[in-house]
Amino acid sequence: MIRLRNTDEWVGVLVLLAIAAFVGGVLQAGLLRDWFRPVSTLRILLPEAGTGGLAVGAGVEVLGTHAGVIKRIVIDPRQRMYAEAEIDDQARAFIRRDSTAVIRREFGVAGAGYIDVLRGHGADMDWKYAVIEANTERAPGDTVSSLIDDVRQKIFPILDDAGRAMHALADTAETINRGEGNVGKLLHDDTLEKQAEATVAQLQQLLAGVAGIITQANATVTDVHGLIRGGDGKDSVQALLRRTDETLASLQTASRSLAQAAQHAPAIAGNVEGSTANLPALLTQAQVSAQELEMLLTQLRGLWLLGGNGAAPPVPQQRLPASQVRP
Amino acid sequence: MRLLALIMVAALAGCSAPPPPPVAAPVDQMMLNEARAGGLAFALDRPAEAVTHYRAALARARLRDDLPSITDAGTNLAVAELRANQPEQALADARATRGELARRGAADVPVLDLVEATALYRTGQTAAADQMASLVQRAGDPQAAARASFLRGLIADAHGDAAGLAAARQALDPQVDSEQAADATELESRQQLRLRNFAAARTYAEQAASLRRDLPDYRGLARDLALAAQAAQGQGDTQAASDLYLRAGRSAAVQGNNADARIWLQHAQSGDPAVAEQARQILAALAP
Repeated sequence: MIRLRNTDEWVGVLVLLAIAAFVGGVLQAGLLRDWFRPVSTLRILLPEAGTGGLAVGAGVEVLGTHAGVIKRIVIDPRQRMYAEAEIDDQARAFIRRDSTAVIRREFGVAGAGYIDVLRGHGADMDWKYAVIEANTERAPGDTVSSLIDDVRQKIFPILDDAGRAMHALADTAETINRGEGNVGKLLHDDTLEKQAEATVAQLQQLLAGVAGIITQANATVTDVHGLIRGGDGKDSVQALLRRTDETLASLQTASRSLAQAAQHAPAIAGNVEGSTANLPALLTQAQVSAQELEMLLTQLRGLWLLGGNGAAPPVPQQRLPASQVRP
Repeated sequence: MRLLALIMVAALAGCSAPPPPPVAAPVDQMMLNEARAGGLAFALDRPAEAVTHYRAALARARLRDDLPSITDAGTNLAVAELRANQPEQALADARATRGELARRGAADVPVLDLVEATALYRTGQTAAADQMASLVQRAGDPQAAARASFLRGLIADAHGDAAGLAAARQALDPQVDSEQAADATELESRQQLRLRNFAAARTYAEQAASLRRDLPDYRGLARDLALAAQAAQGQGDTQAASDLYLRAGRSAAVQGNNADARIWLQHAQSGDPAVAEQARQILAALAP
């Protein structure tokens, strides 16, 4: 019987090797790094329509970079659905109060869902209770359907209108062909042409009448000339001329009187000038008198009988002081 | 009885008239009247009328060949012409009076030289004005010297001469009287403006304007308002600058200082639309 010696020691070595292999494996897998990495919790309010394919463990991207994972999705009928995500602290700077999240799928229309957090520019987030809103990315199929609906809504009315316009055009053409309406009559009926010819004939008659009126006017002018030169109206015209002569004679007399009066005008002006020539001097004298009166009052105020101190009034300065010279 | 007599004598002595004043030398009454009327018109801020009266007084003084009266009337005439915005005429009259003084061997009159320096400055001959003002500074009339220092400060500022401006400011003592206080404050403002301390420059300019309003010196007031506007513009406060320029231009327009009024009113048009419209109206009403 083979008996192993130092069995306990060998078993201990084996256990130690197993522990060392385990620790090495853990370190190699990076689990410890994950455990010690500082993270923050972000609540993402999910849309009313559903999670859009989001599941626990789904990634969270900020600026296209993996920045966290969804740890929990809370579905409670009493409140709105939300997901709790752990976010790397280095991504916190880009998530602000005005940031929003979009739930996308990995390959556009298929694949696992993930959250793309858009960069915010507003106030800093309060990371003690960080909440942002999430929307579901619109499916490409929905976009195409919506586009087709829009096009259908706009195109079909146009086609209907075009049909009605063509019908109306055809009706109009038929009406014209039948010689109905203004244009049809113009094309098929010669009445209008006849009416135009009749109008031209009437216009010619009218012009002949105007020529007769001009002839009569000439005769009237000739009569007026005759009246002025003599004939029946001779007395009245001559009376008019006589009155005009009288008026002119009166006017001549008036202007002669005016001329006589104008001869006195220089003398009058001279008198006025002489009267006003002394006005400046008079004003000066008045001003000086007023000033002297003021000085007299000053002197009176200085009299001891009237409560003054008897001092002589100040002598006015003859020359203006230097302070009055102003640049 | 004796006591009563003593009291009556004392009362009569108290009633006695003061000794009669010494008899004044005979003068030309017309000349005196014209000179007094000129002074009155000048005091009532009617410089054009003052010019007329002072010119008549000068004519009477020349008629009398009275040198002291010619000096007084000639100086007053030039000062009134400066006030009436006729600097060219003021320069000609001041030079004529100074020439007469020189021909007759009389001493220079600092105020007359100051008038000539100011007229030179206002006609744009700043180098000659500065030279003349430096003569006035050394002439021994403290009031004329102070105003000459202020004038030299203005000229230095116009030439960008910071040292000259500082020297002029140092020559003025704001404690002496309100005139010097206003002049010193204006030069202080110009110094601050040159150093680009716009807030301080504006404060000093507004203080100077207030002092000039109390003097009154309305020409200086308008200039200080324009200075404050310049400082406000430096601060970037275009609304305030526009308003201050409008106020400066309006005051200058009323004084008949059309040249400065035009410049300031044109500056006023670059701000508030209401202010710009008002400035346009005043500009349109200005005589060509």
